[in-house]
Amino acid sequence: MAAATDDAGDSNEMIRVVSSDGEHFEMPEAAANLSLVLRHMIEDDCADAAGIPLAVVAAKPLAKIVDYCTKHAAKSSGLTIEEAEELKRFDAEFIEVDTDMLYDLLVAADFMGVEGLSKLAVQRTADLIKGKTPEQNRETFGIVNDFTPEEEEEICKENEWAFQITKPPSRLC
Amino acid sequence: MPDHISEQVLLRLPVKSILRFRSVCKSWCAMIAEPRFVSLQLQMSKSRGLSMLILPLQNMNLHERMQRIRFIGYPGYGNVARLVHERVCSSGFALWTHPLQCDGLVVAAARLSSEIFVCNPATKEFVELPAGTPDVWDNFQKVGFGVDPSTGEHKVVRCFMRHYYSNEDFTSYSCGCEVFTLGSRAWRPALDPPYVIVDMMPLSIPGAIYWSAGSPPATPRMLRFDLQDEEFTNFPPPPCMDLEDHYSYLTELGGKLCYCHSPGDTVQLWVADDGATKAAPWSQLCTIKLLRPCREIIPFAAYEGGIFLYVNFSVICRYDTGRQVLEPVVNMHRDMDYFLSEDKLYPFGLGASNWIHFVVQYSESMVTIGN
Repeated sequence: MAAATDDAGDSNEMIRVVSSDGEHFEMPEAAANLSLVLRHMIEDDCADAAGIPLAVVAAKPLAKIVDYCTKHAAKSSGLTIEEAEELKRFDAEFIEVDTDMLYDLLVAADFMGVEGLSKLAVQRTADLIKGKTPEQNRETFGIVNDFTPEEEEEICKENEWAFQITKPPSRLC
Repeated sequence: MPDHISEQVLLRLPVKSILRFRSVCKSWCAMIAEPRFVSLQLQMSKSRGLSMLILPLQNMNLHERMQRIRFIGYPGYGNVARLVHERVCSSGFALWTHPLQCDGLVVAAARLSSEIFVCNPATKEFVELPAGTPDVWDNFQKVGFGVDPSTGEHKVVRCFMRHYYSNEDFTSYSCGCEVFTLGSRAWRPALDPPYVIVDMMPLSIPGAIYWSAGSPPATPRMLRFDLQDEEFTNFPPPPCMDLEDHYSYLTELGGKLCYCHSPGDTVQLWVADDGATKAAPWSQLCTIKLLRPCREIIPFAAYEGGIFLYVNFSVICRYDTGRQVLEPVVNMHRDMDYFLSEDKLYPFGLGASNWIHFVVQYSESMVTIGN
């Protein structure tokens, strides 16, 4: 009976998760709780020794997500200004990844319901693409251009000025 | 990429990038055109923090016309401002009064004629409204601008004098009001205001426009114009409101009504809640000590413990509400670097005496004007 009460409130327990390609990862329960999907699985007693299977998240992004959640769970409440700054720096370095990984993180964080990471990845994506051309965007995200050339031209004409991409000016003396 | 993730990414882009990315694929194009997207983008833009728009006005003869209108973006710190949009018109623009901003749309009304234009500087949409009813009172146009939250419609509201006789107690007059809903074709008459509307700039808050009213020496009045019902109701005026003081201003500040009263070397800010039903809804927010007396002080934004004001149409200041000090942020005449084209710095500020600068709080949006 004592063991049962311990179980319920024990946040030090490690949660196992399994990537789509069969790799196992472990993180503290508090870290797993940052994912809505994992939290619901834990609440429904689906977290067992075999690990929670994540059918659409591959090992590479999952390793990053486990990192992210572990770091953020350790520093969740009552942050000092320095700790908040450190977490900001961690986020900034964390999200310095190539576009493939960024795309995987976007989709995986969304699937797992990790809100903070979703926002971080979405903002990073927006920062990366805001100065790009539509064609560069299609390449980055593997989007197929389904306009006819005439349709595309028409849309471009409506806001021709928006296609003049200028770099932010540097201060001239 | 799933649509809801694309949407989240697109919502965080500047309006210019969003418009460019309409041509990426059909699903992005359709998503961006949705009213839902436009309203989410506006919310996101407003939550992004403080941002301002500077509108320089050439100091010239009242009947001369300006060749261009510039909308210059300023983040609220530093000394760099960048051109957002420039509108050139061969027939020129009449000198306008203080511009009004709501949801990324800017309205400016000519001082002496009935010309009014509406512009979304972020999308470059620009519309000149049809002429309203002539105002026989040859004075500043009395124009308000706001949003009706129940429909999301943006309305320009204009008060005017049909006729008046200047007898001593100023009792014989007929004052009218008309509304132009953006996207519609014509002005619609609204119920007449119960008092003469004064040319003090009205303040706009979601759902209502507040006007100062009454004719001196009669008691000053304040009227609330409901943007949904399109009716005037009385609202208690601030205790120190003086209709003959042309250096007092009504503005919206942090979601409240604000009356800015400058008796000389101090500025008093009075605030009240929209639609308050108390007999005395106004309370004094603060008294700001000035380093030297100046009359033209207009508060226009409240952000993170600071009230932003602009002084004499040339200096943006920040009043720190905690430390109770007024500090200059930037002198728009002398110290600002204006990037007016591509990557060239333009010595715009050098012609200081020829320009006055209006400042409005501004969040860029994709809200359309229509017509």
